[in-house]
Parts: sequence; structure tokens; C-alpha cells
Amino acid sequence: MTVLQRALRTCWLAACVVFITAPLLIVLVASVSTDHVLTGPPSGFTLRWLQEAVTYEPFRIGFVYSVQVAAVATAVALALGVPAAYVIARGGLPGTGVLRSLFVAPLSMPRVVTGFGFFVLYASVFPTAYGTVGGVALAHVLLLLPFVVALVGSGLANLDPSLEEAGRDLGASSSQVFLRVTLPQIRMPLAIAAVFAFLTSFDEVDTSVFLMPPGVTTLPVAIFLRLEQNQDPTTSAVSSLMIVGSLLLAGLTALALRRSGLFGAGGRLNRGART
Amino acid sequence: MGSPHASSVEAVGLVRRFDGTAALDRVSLRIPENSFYCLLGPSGCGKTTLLRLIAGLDTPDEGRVLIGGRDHTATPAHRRPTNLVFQSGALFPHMSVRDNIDFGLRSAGVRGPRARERVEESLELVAMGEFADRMPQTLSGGQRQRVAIARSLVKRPDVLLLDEPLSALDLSLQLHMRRELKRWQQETGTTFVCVTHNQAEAMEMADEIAVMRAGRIEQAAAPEHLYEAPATRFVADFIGENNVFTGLAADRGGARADHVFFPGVDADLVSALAVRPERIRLVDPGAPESAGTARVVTVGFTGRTLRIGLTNESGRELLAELPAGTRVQAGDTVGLAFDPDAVVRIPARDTEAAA
Repeated sequence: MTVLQRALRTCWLAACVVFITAPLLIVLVASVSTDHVLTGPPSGFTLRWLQEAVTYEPFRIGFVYSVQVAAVATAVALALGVPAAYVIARGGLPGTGVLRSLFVAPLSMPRVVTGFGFFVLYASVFPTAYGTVGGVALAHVLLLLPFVVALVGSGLANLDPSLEEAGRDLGASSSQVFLRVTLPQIRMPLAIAAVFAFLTSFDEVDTSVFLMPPGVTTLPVAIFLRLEQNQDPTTSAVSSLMIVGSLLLAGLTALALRRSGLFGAGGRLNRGART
Repeated sequence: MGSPHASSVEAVGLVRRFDGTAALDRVSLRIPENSFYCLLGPSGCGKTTLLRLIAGLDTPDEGRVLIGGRDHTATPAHRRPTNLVFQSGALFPHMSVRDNIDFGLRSAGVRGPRARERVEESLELVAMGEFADRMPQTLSGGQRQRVAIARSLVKRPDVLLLDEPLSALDLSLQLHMRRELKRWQQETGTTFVCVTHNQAEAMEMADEIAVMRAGRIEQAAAPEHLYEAPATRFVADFIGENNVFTGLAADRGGARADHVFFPGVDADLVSALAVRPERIRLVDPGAPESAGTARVVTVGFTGRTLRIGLTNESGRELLAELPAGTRVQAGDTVGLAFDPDAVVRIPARDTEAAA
């Protein structure tokens, strides 16, 4: 490789990194800068916007609301998605290909359309679901299922099937085998699916915005609504908090997984021992 | 840890098809109780399929499986009085050795001191007591296989099924484990059914062997009987080393094949003849007992014997095994001789070519 090629490659990588991180960095800087609108280098440091963001009532309500929605949506998506992934991977049923596509289908549907669909559904059939944690969470479940089914499915595909057979052979019923053999073996994809589902739901605007009255909304929708009236750095501040929170959650998960040695354990190692 | 009752296993007309091809084609056999039984054959012969049908991990398309005289064809795996040792061991990677062995007891509702006692007992049997708290990933292949066997034996099955249990181990460990398996079978009094593709392994361990090929049983008999009286060309070739002669033609009071003469053999009644290497003698090419001449190509020393590679005038390669100390060297031209009773006759009904 020539020096020129090396330099070009470095520049290319640097450009990519800047492209990915620039919006995040701008937001982080804007949220602690004294300027109302960031037009050049920040003229001073302040925690005022962060304080305002934390005390702003719709954000406070929104945060609690979002956590509730994300928790419910994640729980339901796992409860539905894990057995579905298991049946697709192990059931030996005809038409599992169709089933797999069906679970991934929501990915290709515009989220706005999904949101509108649920809005019409609630308006015409379940008016009580509108604006409730359960109602919003249910719509999110549809968006989360593809991730759960895909991630858990790949975990199951990596799992040596003779482990489950050994469980059955040793006298465990199907449900015991699932709980005592399969589930512990797919802990890692399961944990990743859970964190990913939680963050996706927490972050969701397009679908949620149709399903809540303006007064009581999830945090991202509250940000969206505030931005329509007021462009002060408080919005940057709350965004910064979300960035830091998400990174923290992802980082802690990675750390926890590494601590418990999950990166090493699992089906792959067992397969390696097979030779 | 004597099993209260070892059971016989009977397969009655078992058929198992995968995508239209029969992996098992009407297989019937009886495995006596308290015996060490081997299912022997090349890969793809259906031996593992048969083992899985006995374990209940797979269901036959036709036929029945009887264990201890009772029909278990419809019994699911977790309720059968059998336990299977998987080729990979299939130890649960997230459990210690002790918890792996305890798994089957917990499933059966055996807990507390009685469970602990049985776990210790079975760890002791396979000499793995000091590894009880280790994780499977930290064990060697041989140790894992011992734990897998202990995990199955702790259930005190009527029948222990083993799927190529030694194939992942290096040769010296294999040789040792053959004797260990044989000893454990005798100590527990459990019926052992072991699948293997290694004929030497089967010969050493088994009380009885079923030689399988292409989804069928070629011959089921004691090892000595298979060795001395193979019923088919395939068995003659597969069990031990052999010189198999085909294409026999009638010739002056006997039969001739590949320029070797077999007096007193009726070429119409046999499809092949077999002479074990150790039954061949080398004599003077002109001696009256010489059944044909050949040239010595290689001489190999094994310790107790010399392995002599020969080629005769029709280009046929032969193997002879002579006591060490025999004077012979590469390039010699010799006569081949053997006693009449050394010639094994494969009946004419076996028309299939040797694989």
C-alpha cells in the first residue's frame, strides 16, 4: 500500500466518523453552551438548559411514561417473540419460511402507517386504549417483534440441538428442557434483544405520536411537541440526556455480559468441542 | 451401583425414511439383556438412526421397538427406560459437572442426600470425583465423555445407548476407554448398545455385533463368529483384514480366481472365498501344496508378526501375516499355501459386490 492510499483511507474513515458523531456532538455542545442558538464556537458553559430540561413538567411526565411503555412493550415482545422464534427454529412445521417473513414484515411497513393503523383501530374499536401505556406499548410490540424474533432465532440456530435432545433423554419434559437447557444457552441474544427492544420503544416517535393526546405523551413525543413552539437549547439538553442514558444502558449491558462470561459460553463453544 | 434390571431390546421390522430414501429398511434384531452389543457399519448405514429410534428421539415410519418385552414405540424419549450418550457428549455448558449429572435425577424428582449420594457414586465409577465442580469447557475430550457416561448411568437405565462414544478421542485413549466401557458394563449389569464404525473397537468390546450396511443388517453374531464365518462378502471385508477372492471359475476338481487355485471348491455354490492373512503360508513356488505364486513387495515388522504385501501374476494384491523371524524379503518369489479349513466360503446367495 502506498503512502497516498494509506492517507486516503485514513481520511475516508475520519470522514465517516465525523458524519456519524457530528449531530450527537453538536447536540451535546449546544446543551451546555450559554448561546441560545449555536452559530459558532460556544461562548460559555452552563448547566441551565440541563436543569430546565429536568424540571420541565412534560419531559418529567414523558420520561416516566416512556419507561413504562418501553418496559411493557419489551416484556410483551419477549413473551411473544421468544416462543415464536423457538417454534420457527425447532418446530419442524410446514411453512416456517412464511412465518419468519410474517414476523419480519413490520420492518418494511412505514411506522407512520403503523401508527395511523393503530389510531384507527383504537378510535373505532377500543377507544379506551387511546393514550394509555398499554395502548402505546401494544403498537410498539409490533415494531419490536422482528428484532426479538431475529436475534433469538439466530441464537437458537447457533445452539447444538443435541443439548436439547440430551435434556429430553434425561427425563425432562419439553417445558423443563426449554427452561433449564435452552433458555440459559440463549441468555446473550436474549439480553441484547431486551435492551435493543427497550431502547427502540423508548425512542419511538412516528408510531406513538398518533396514539396520545398532547398533554400526556412519551418523552420523544414531548420533545417533538416542544420543538414545534420553542427552539431553545432545553431540547438539546434533554436529547443529550437521552444520548448519555442510551450509551450508559448499552455499555452496562455489554459489561454485564462480559462479567458473566457470556461471550465465551454458549452453543458455539460446545460446537467447537465437537470436532 | 448395580442396575435393578437390565432389559433386552427388540427391533421389529423398523423402517425409517428421510426424504423418500430408507435410512433403515425393515430392520429386525434382538439385543439380549445385560449384554454389550455393538451396531457396526460405515457412515450412512443407519446405525445411528436405529439407536435414536431405540432412544425415542426419532419415530419409525414402520415397525416397533420393544424394551424389556414391552412395546415402547409410542413412548416419548423422556419416559423411556433408556439413556443416550451423545457423540459430542452434549454436556450442558452452563452447568458444573455435578449439576450435569444431577440433571436427570432432578427431572425424576430425586433430590437431597439420596441424589447427592447417587451423583457421587456415578462420579466415582468413572473416576471423575475430583472434577465435580469444574465446568465442562475446562475438561479434556476424554473427561467430558466420562462425565457424559456418568450423567446417563446415574439414571440407572435399563439400557444405555452410546453413539460413537470414543470417536473424538485420540487412539491411546480410545484403547483405554474400550476396556473401561467393558468394565462399566459388567459392573453395572446394564445392557449397553454402542454404535461405532470402528470394527476393532466393536470386536474388542462387544458380546455380539450387528454389522449394518445401507439400512440393513448384514450379519448379527458374536465377534469370533463374524471373524471365522462371515456370511457375506461385505462382512468378510469389513471385519478384520482379509483376502477376498471373487470371479471364481471351475478348474480341475476345484475353483480358480486371480491365478490362485482352491481345491475342492464348487464355483457354482459360492460367490466368493476369503483367506485371513494369518492363515496364508509361504512355501517354495514349486511345492505341490502351492496354490499359486506371488512376488513379495513389502515386508513390515509389527512386533509379533511380519506383514507381507504380495502381488501375483494377475496383478492381485494379497496380505499375509507370518510369525516374526520368518526369512523373507522383498523381491522373493514364493508359493502361497493354506489349509482347506482356512478357506471361508461366502454362499452364492450373496450376489452383492463387496463395498
